Amino acid sequence: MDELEEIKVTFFQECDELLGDLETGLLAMENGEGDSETVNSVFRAVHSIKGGAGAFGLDALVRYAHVFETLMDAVRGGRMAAEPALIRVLLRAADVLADQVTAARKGGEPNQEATVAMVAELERWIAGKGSSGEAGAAPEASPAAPSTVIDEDDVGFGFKPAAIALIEIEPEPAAETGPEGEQAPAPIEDLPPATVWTVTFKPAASLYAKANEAGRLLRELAHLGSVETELHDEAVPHLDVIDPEGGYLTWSVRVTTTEGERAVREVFDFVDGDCELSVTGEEPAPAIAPEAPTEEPFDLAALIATAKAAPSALPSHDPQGEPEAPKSIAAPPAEPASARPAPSAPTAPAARQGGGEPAAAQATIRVDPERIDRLIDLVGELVINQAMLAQRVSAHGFAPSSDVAMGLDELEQLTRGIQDSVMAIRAQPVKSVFQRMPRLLREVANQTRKQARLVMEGEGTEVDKTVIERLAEPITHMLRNAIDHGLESPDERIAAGKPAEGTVRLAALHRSGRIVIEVEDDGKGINRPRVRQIAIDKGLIPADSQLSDEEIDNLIFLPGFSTAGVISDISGRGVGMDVVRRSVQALGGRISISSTPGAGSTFTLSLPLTLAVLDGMVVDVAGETLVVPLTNIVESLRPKPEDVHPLGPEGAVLAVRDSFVRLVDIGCVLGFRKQPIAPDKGVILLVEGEDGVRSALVADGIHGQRQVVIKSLEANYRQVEGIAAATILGDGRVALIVDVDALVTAPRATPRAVETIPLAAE
Amino acid sequence: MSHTLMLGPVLDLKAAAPLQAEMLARRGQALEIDASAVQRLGGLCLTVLISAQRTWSDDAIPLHVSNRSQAFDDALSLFGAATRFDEPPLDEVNSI
Repeated sequence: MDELEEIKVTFFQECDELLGDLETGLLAMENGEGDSETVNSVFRAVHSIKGGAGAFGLDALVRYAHVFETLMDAVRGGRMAAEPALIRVLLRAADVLADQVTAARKGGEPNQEATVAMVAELERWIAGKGSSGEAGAAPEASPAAPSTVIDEDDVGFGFKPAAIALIEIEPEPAAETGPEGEQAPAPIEDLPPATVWTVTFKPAASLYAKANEAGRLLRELAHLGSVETELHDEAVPHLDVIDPEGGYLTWSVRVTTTEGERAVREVFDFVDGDCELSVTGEEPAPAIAPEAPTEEPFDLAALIATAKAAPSALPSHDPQGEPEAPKSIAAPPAEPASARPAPSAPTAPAARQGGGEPAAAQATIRVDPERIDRLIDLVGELVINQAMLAQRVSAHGFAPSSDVAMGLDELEQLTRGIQDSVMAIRAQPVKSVFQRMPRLLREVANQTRKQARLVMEGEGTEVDKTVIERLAEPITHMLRNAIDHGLESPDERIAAGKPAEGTVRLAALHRSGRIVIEVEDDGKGINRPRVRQIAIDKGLIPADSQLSDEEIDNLIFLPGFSTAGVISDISGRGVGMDVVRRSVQALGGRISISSTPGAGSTFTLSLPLTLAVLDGMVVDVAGETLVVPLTNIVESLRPKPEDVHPLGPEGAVLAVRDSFVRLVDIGCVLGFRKQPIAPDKGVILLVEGEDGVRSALVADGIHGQRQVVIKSLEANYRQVEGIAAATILGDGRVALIVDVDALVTAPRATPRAVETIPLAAE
Repeated sequence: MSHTLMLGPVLDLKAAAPLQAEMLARRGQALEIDASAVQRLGGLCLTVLISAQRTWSDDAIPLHVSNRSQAFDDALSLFGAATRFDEPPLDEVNSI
């Protein structure tokens, strides 16, 4: 049953996406941004999970999802207001659903207590507000709510009584081919005139393969109103040649309902592209007319074209509106799609063909990440190889304008194009990480008895998958800290003149070739005297040290600063922040904090966009070849001696236009040489660090710009201060990639420039 | 002497291929299909059953579905095939 296992894996992958959608939708509703489409998408997410779970016999999951779905359906049907209290319940219900999915995936049992409690709570809502509220007074809403009816088929046996209470106001789910009146509840007379829709659908094998079931679709159709189902099994072959998992059956269903075409088509939302579908209305209700005109011009033209080309294809769209559909089944899907009559023709059936769009449904493919990684490795090798080739070409003395050199230029552009495209495949929005955070926030807030709201920005910011995977942990830490230690209790907040509910902002953005994650809270900020005192008590800093506010804030990152006992006392942060910083640094990233007492703190985390390649400036320093990331470089220049000014006992600054920047000799900082070279003898790389502060790196010479493939130094050797990674150059030698920020902030970053600068300013 | 094939409770995607194999193994013999245990019948197994019915009929060998559970009948109704297995193929085929 490997195939089934595969489908199951796909199902769980989809569950992850659906759970994400679910949460996103609920949060949008919470923020008052939810329109009816949002509510629908939330409903669909739960519904899809339930449906898939049913196919795999995950009964516990189905049972729970069903109760959830029932409540969502009441919201969707407008029978229950999406008030904040309800949305909070739904959010927690989504958390429990996620747990259920996780448990089902691992084959274990979910937390029974939490589930039972949640089901009870959901049922209270369903019973308390769902049935005694508007639903009773407005029974016409019930036919609009197909899925409130329990799908016995999905859930097995023995259902929750509270859910059954709702059934009574629903039409019978069973799709008896009997007379329509048998199923239509009395109130239907009060409704707008019913339309008879003829739905013809032929499930493809892929529909079943994706764990969908024709029976479920039929049942949902039956929920819309009364149905007459006709089965066409002429295509079923003999047993010895049949593909047992093939789609041979076709159904035509006459649905009499007050619902519009949209509701009928909605039944097939999840199987779009997996079945041939046509929906034909016999008596077009006015409600659906406004939908049609937008497509009229195209359809009319197509109709004429079709009529000219193949008059014989039209009979099934005879204006008499023959509702029985065998003819249209036989017709190729393209004809019905194009032969859409204008709505102005009063007797014309509004034929539409959903089956004509399966190509659009296949918009994404799932690929094993290993394949992409392999591709990226190969492209990396290609880049190196291309660099080697370029080097050899120039070594052989080809002129830059020669055919060979120009061809090589083109190759380089192509290589880069391939590389960008390949990297784009692996780039993912940080949404996948952010999505987990609202739940974390709720849980931590509950534990700490604080009220917190999470505002997320830049979820669409894309970053390489390898980076995404490692973002979750530091973000989780930062967020937990922000709530636990940043935000005050509701009482404290009110006393401080703030709203009881604290706000935590989680934002992602691109800045100078890196991804920056900010976690900002509006809490009390860092208690600096306290932090300083703790650092002194722990012997991390001398008692008489003079520290700027920023330096004090950053003390919390010091290893050994925090222990659990201390942390619960102090008002600042610090739980394992040194660990977070270490893991971030291992990725070539940095983490910093800024804080305003009484107003809150901001953690800023920055990471490279990719861990695979970078554009760099190849420079020469004391006989070593180094690569400086291009994203850091603002400009390169050769300074005039009079622009170099000594500063303090051993520093020097460089006048660049109207400002002064600090001179940093790369060779000295990295220990390649003891004495810095005279800046005017070397080349200056004007760089900008993370904090936007500019510095002037002094190198001996520049070789040029090159794209280099990053090879991890940590993985192959060990972490080296001031060095971000290594790469392989065109000539096969290893070159180190400089970590500019570490370089300019390193303690030895101040070269004793004054002594060696032959001319002091003057 | 007809053989009896007991249908399993859950006739879904997973069950379709085994069902086909089981029935193929009995081809050429009169077949009594017992549907008393069926709790769920999906479109694929329905297809296999229809295919079997057609195959047996063309082989002029009786095939009959008996002891249908309520769930089985309900599913047939849902699929618009309420009477699909009603005809008593035994007599019909015998008279051919």
